[in-house]
Formats: sequence, C-alpha cells, structure tokens
Amino acid sequence: MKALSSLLAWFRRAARRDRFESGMSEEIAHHLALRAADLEHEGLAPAEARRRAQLEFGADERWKEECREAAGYAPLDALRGDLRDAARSLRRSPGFTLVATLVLGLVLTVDLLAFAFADAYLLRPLPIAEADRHVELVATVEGGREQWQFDAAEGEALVASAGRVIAHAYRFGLHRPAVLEPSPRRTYAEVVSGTWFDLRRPRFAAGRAFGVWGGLDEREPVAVLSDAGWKRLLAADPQPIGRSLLVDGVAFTVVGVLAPAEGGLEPVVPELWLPLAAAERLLPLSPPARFGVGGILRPGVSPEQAAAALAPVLATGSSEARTLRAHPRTTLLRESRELAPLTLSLLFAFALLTAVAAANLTGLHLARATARRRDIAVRAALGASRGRLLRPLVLEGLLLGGGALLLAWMLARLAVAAVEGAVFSLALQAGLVLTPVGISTTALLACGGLAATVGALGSLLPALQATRVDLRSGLGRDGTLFGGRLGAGRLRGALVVGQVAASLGLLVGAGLIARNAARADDVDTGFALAGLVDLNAVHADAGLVARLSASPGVRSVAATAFTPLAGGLPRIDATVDGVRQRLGHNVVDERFFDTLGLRVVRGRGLAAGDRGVVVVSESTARLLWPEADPLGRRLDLERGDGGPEPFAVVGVVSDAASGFFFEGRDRSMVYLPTGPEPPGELLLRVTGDARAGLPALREACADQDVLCEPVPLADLLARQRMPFTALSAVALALGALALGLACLGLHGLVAFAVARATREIGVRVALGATRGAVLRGVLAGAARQAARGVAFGLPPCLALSALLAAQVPQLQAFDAAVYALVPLLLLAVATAAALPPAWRAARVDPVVALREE
Amino acid sequence: MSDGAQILPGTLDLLILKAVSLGPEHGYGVLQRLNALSRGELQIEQGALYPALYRLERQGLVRGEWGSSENNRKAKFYALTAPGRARLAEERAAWERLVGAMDLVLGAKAVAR
Repeated sequence: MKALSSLLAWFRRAARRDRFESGMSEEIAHHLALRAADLEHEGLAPAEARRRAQLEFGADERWKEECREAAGYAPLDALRGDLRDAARSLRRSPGFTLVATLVLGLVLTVDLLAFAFADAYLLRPLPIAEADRHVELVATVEGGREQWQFDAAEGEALVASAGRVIAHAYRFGLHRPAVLEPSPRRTYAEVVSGTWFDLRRPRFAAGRAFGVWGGLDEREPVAVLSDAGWKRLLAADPQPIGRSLLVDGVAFTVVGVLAPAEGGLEPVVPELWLPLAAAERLLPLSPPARFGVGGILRPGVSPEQAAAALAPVLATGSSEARTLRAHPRTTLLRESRELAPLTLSLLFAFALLTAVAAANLTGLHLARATARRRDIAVRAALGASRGRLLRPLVLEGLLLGGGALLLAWMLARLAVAAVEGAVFSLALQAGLVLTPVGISTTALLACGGLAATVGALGSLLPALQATRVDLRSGLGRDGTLFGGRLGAGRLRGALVVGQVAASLGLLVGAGLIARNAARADDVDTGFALAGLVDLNAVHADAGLVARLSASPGVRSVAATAFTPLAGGLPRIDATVDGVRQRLGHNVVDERFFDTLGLRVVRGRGLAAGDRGVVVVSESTARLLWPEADPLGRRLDLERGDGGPEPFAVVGVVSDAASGFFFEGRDRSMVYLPTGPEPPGELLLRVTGDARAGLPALREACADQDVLCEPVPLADLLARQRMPFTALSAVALALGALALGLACLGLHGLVAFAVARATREIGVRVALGATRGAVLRGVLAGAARQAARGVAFGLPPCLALSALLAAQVPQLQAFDAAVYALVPLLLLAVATAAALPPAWRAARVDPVVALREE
Repeated sequence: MSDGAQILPGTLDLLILKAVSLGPEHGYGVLQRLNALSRGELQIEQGALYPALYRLERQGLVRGEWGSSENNRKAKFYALTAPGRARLAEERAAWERLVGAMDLVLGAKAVAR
C-alpha cells in the first residue's frame, strides 16, 4: 500500500514535469509568434520576420535550461543524469554487476528470511487490540522456579477477581484430546474461557465464537475450528456449521471456523477451541488440569499494581510461598532467559555475515575503481569536482543494492516455506500447525534499509579512495605483485583478511553446534532404543494389553505413566532423612524394567500388587545414601493432595536417560508401582524394525476399538534433537555462505594483483623463473592472506568459546577437532580459490607481457 | 526592439514585478509594457525574461495562470501575489534610496569641510 502511494507520487511528479516542459515550449513559441507578427507589422516579409524574431530571442535550449534551473528542476535532472550514467556503467561491466548483485542478494536473502521469522514470532504484536498491555500471570516459587499455569480452582479465582485491574481476563489450557468422529485421531486443542474470544476477536470464515462477543453460551458443548482443524477434522466440508465432533467421547457441535491466516495467542495454532465451562462439566477425566491466565491491563494500571491486587487470591490457595507477577507479553513468543543467548548469537551471526558481504562488495568496487582510475583522473583533470565524481559511483552502489533486494525478495519468497519446514520440522512432525511466516512489508522495509546502507557503504569507501587522485599516478601505472606495494591493494588485503576471520568465526560456531549435537546423539540412554515403541493410545485397557501381548511381533508390553524420552522428566517432592528435595519419578508396572532393558542391580524389581515400595536408579542411590546400603531405606513422597506417604526401597536398577536427551542420564529417578488404575501409557518392545511393526500395532488397536498413534522411541529422540539439527543447519549455511564470499574475495584480490603485475611476472620468467616458482609464489601469497585472517579470527573465537563455556556448562565450547579442522579447511579452500589466477600468472608469456606497454 | 540603455544587473526582477503589478500579463506583453513605459529606452534580452519569471514564480512573488491571449492562442498570464506586492514596495524603496544617494554623489559640486 505504502509502495503504491509513493509510486503514484512519483508518477505525478513525472507527469508535472512533462507539463512543465510543454508549457515552457508553448510560452516561447507564443513569444516568437507575437514578436514575428509585430515585425511583420513593421514591414518585414513573414519568413524574414520569423528569422529575426528567433535571432533576437536567442537559442531556445539555452533559455530553457536556465528556466529549468530557475524552476528548481536542476538537482532532479542532475540526479537523473547520474543515475543514467551509473546504470550505463553497470551495464558495461556485466560480470561485476552480476557478481556484486549475487553477493549482496544471497546475503540479503538470508537476512530477509531471518527478519521474516523474527517479525512473525518476536516483533509483530499479538493480533489483539491494545496488545502492548497484554499480560500473563506468573507465580514464582521459592528457589526461582516460574509457574506459568495454575490449577483449575486457582485459575478461576484469579480470573474472577481480576476484573478491577485486568480487562478480558481469560483462562486457557492446552489439551490433546482424541477426536473419534468423523475420523479418529488425536488432535491439539485449546480449552478457553469465553473471555478469550472476547479479547482475541479473530476473523471467521464461517459461524462465530462462544462467549459474550460471539453471542453463544460457553456452557454448551460447542467447538470453534481453525482453518487447519477444518481441513483435517472435517476434510474441508463446505457446510461445517452444525457438524458434530466426538471429542473424548462427548459430542461437540461446530459453531465457527476461523479465516485461514487466523490463529490464537500461541506460536502453535490449535485445531480447535473448546469452551472451558462445557469441557469441565462434560469431560471430567480428560480436560487440562492447569491453565494460563492472562488479559489486558486496564488503563493506568501497572503490571506491579495488577500483581499486588491479585496476590491475596494466590496466598489463600496453597501452602507453598509464591509471589505473583503480571508478565507483559506482547508477541507470540515469550521472552525467555534460555532463548536470549541463542537469539543474540544468531543475531550476531547474521550481522557478521552481512559485514562479510559489505567487505566483499567493497573489495569488488575497489578493484573496479582502481581499474577506472585513469578514467576518473581524466574527468578530474577536466575540472569535475570531487562530489561530482563521487555521486555516480555511490549511485552505482545504491542501484546494486536495489537489484540485490529484488533478487533477495524473489529468492526469499521461494525459500520461506522450505526454511519454515526445516526449522519447525519438530512441530510439523508432531502434527502441529504453526503461525505462518510471511515476507512482511516490515521485513522488506528493514531489509531495504540494509540493502541501501550496505550498497552505499560498499561503494563509498572505494569511491573516496579512487577520487582522491593524484593525476600523475592515476594516469600512469603502478603496483607490483611481489613487492607488496599495491596502494589500494592494502585495503583490499585488509578486507579479505576480515572476511576470512569472520567466516572462521561463523564456521567454528557451526562446527561447535554440530559437534555438540552429534555428541548429544551419542548419549548413552542406558537401554537399547531399537524395537521400543510408544503406543500413544487413548484409554488403553487390559483387553488391549492382552491383544498386543499375543501379537506375533511383540516381545513385551509395559504400562508407564511417562514414556522415556517423551519430554521433560516429571518430578516429585520427596523427604529423605529429613531433607526435602525434588526427584525424578515415574509410575511403572512389573514388566517395565524388562521391556526397557534395565538391569536390576540390587534387591528386586517391581512386582504386581506392590504397595508402599519403590525401586530407585543407581545414581539416585548414590545421591541419597552415598555411604550406606539403599535397600530398606525410607522415602516420603508427596503425590496428589494426600500429603507425604512413606515408601521403602526394595531394589536398585541401572541408570537410564528418560528426560530431555541433552540432560543425559537422569540424575535421580524413583520408580513407583502402579495402583489399581493402569498408568496410561503403553511401552512396547517389538522384534525387528520398530517402524515396520507400526501397521500391525495400529491394527491391533483398531481391533480393540482403541485409538493409538504408535511412535518408535528412536523417533522421539530424533524429535528432541530437531532444534539442534535445525540450528546447526542454519549455522552451517551461514558459515558456508561466508566461506564462499571470503573465497570470492580472495580470488578477486589475487586475480587483480596478477593482472596488474603481468609485466613483472613476464620479467621474472624472462630472467629464468620457472612456471612452478611463479605458481608457488602466487599461491603462497594467497595462503599468507588466509593465514592472517585465521590469526585475526582465532582469538575472538576462543574468547567467545570461553564466554559460552561459562554461560552454558553442558556445552563443549572447546572442541579440538573443530578448532583444528576449520582453520585447515579455510586455508585449503582459500588457497584453492587463488588457483585459477595463479595458473594464469604461471602461463604469462614473457614476450607478450613485455610487449604490452 | 530599438537600441537603448542596458538594464543594471539585478534589476530585471524589480522591473518585472512593477510591470506585472499593473495587471496580469503574458511574457511578451511584459516586455512590451516595459518597452512602452521606458519609451523604448530599456534594452532587455528577450530570452532572459523567462528564467526570471520562473524564478519569481517559484519564490511565490508572481502567479502564472493559463488563459487566452489577444490572438486567441493559449498563453500564460503572470499576476502579482501579495508577497510580490510587498517585495516590490521594499525593492522600490531600496532603489529610491540608492538613486538618491547616487544623485547626491554625482551632483556634488565641492566637498564641504
């Protein structure tokens, strides 16, 4: 829209300009006609009168030029002329134009993609009115742990008393219910109070919302679908309103479908929204137990005041001491302390890459400007001012920036979906729909500014140097290859060294991320992954267990509350020998250790019908009773609301990694026996390939009328790794691009030096230097530049590594392989980039070279 | 146009403002008006009139409007604006002071001590 209006203004000016020209011509013609008529009246013949009139007036064009200047068109005309000159000169050197546009265009593409992602998730305000006053309530528990969710009663109490300080106070919870009809599958839902829609007010493709704004009772079993939900759950039925969905066994009527680009207030777009009041009444077993609470601060109320007003509600709810905070959240992603260093390092990496592009562009311009010194010197000798000489050169840079931006825009549009798929593959694999990333006008404008800055800066420095001409040297020839007296070559050398140093930084970063990810891959889980399957069943029962156990490919079936590697390890409050602490825990049946493949090290495993006993892992035994025998020891565990219950240790099993893989093996793990209710999740070990066995498992579930979505545990681990894989891919892409640019820069530097030293090489060859010696000489020069870059780049890299190591202790920031291989790779590639010009140098024919002048 | 006195540098704008102050006129008409007022004594380069008119228009001292001239051709008529009138008065006062001073100097018989 903005672009359109500025385009219109441009056309208006151009149109006015045309009118100005025609008006001026008409005025002069009118003047000449009247004068000729007067002269005719005085007795001259018509032809003679016209001739005399023109003679008296003088040359039209001269006066027109003065008129244009008087009317203020002169600077515009000069700019147009300079632009024409710049465009013509770029057209005359297509090689330079192409390479420069590609260099800047590729880097801008990467920047534009980064901007687009940052804009969609970190910068763009939430899609609600007064997004800048949106807050979420957070409780901070003793020890600094933050609690973003509250139980049902507490959440309700907070919302009920928030009205005075927070408008549209809402409650929302995430839920993964099973939708059995029309097609059975597990889906992703948000269970929200009606006020959530009163605040969000999305655009609808059909129907409306529940709550006051939508005008539908939120106690009724109704559902609102997202565009994705409409496509997946209802197969894009053109008449969705009134259709029925069987959610966890209860029928909900579809009352609305959101417009395609609309979502909620979270990065993940759910497939459906269910009214909280109805869900609590109708789904007593399955609704989410914990809720986020948010809303819009009333005018004049600060987050602190809101928290203070609501703190009493929290104090009456629980025994634990907690402080309440109203946390401003205005964008899709919550700012988090964990993400901040990552965001900053990525920002730094992108800035570094852009700097490499700027240096490269400067190098390209420099070579060109040096080649054009004669031309510039001639124009300076003819009296052109420095500003006059500078203008077309800088305009060239701006034109290149414009072309590069256009290229970047086209490439980014093509690439954004693929990059989104790669970066968010974790979520996509799990069937989640994310808020789409588009190339927004904001991102394009930001990148346009960057393109103009880098484009102009890239050309300014060389232009300044080229226009500071000393007429004599400019008109003569200078520079040698081996003596190092290259003048502008020194600046070019410094630029190349900078580029090599920067790409070293990016590559070391990528290498470290990749190595850390690979190291995490080697995490010894403590059990064999192959053949393990998480059944992911809804309402598994004894019949299903029996049916699965009888299946030919299934070796064993175990019930567990928490599937290893499915997420963060659940923790439980425990008191051991009077000391309170939080320990990892799981509820498992008697077949669990055998199915997972854990060894019983001491005592016994769990048996059917066990009560009041636990089995602990080896590391837990070491942690709690380093000196003593753990068997028979007592733990008091607080599960549920019943207060501490005593448990006796009856066995010790080998360690396993069951939480997030990067946390390694569990520091503590207490296995509780199952009660009369089975704990919910089924873990299977199958013979042969786990993935090949999935169809048979699905069939077995279908036989028992149970919905299941079996996932091999190896895939769960792969999903956990996905962010690291994506991150190292991004880092690697940035590093590779930087390396490519540095090589291009080095190649250009050497090619330029060789071209200028042709005569000198000719002399050396004529005096008996062998071709091998020339080749070696040129290559050694290139390797020296690259080595200088490595030498400059290593200390900051090491400093950064030290900083990272201090910040993130789990990270292996000093990886010998990375620090040894990356510089070697850089040296090799950089030297190879100098090979073509070096080869050209070695083939210089002394006769031709010496005859050149 | 007949031979006459060359106008002083920098005075063309003042002359044009005066000519236009007598009523809206097109370019050639301004020239004729100046010629008639000076009884053919002022010699103005014809082409130079237009850059001066454009400059005055850009400064907002005159306003040009398209209309029909006596021979029924489209012509641009220039009229004095309010700022133009103020400027004319200023320049005229300055000119009169200058002419008075010049007269005093050039008409002096002896230096009074």
